[in-house]
Amino acid sequence: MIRVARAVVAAAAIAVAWAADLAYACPSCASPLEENRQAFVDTTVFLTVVPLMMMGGFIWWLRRRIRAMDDRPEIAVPENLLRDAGPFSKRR
Amino acid sequence: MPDDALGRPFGVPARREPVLPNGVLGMLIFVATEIMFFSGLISAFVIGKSNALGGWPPPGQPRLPVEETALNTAALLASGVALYFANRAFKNGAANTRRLLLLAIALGGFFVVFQGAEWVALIGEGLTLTSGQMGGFFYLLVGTHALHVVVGFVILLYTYRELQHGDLDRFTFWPAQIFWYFVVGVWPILYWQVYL
Repeated sequence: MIRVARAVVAAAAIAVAWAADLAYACPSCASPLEENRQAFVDTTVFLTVVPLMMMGGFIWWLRRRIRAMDDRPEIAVPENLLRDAGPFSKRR
Repeated sequence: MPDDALGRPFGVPARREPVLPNGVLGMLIFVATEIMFFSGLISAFVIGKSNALGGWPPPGQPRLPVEETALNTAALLASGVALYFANRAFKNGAANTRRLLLLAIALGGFFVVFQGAEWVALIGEGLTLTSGQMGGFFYLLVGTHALHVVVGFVILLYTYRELQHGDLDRFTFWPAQIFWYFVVGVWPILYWQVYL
């Protein structure tokens, strides 16, 4: 019984998808104006790139900040000891 | 016990500063949503402009004051620069922090007043929210930005008050700066798209 019900639902979904016509939700996509279509493409690229740049920029900045904070000594160390640490000094 | 240059006793673990203070993180998230909001508005404007029959600006509509607004743009950018130097002075504990912050606030105030005067003139010439596509887009884009400038102006006034009372710390100043830099940074894009 459940198998039949599933098959009916699947057949109904396929029928609806088959019967539906193309929906032009975007008024610019089928515009005869070349400038308008180009504007649509440009803004699509813009709206795609902006969030990616924001997230990428934030991760880059955060990484830099964490590294800078890691370079700071966690305990207060006298200057002469820091100098003596040579190439292993965190200050270098 | 001798202390180091930061006043911490030797050998005592320092309390670590948070990588990102809560206020800064909150403001960054808010500004990110604002950037997407303005991106959506600008995209709608660009498509609307390219769809206009008869060219842009539409015939019969008043011209926007390009040169006067360029001066206003310079004032807003200068306000951002003044805030940057105010922050540097604040970090160094310099005495001119107050003067620089006041300059940033004054330039922001000038921008708001100038834009108000511009709007009065444009309404007088017949450009209203309902006069056409141009008026609708103009007041939506520029008006939304103006609202943000007013909010930023109030935030800067608050930071100035805190500074006056000696209560300003960088965890308060930092988010205020982020918001103001956003307001300053988005304006040249709006000017380029709407006025030029």
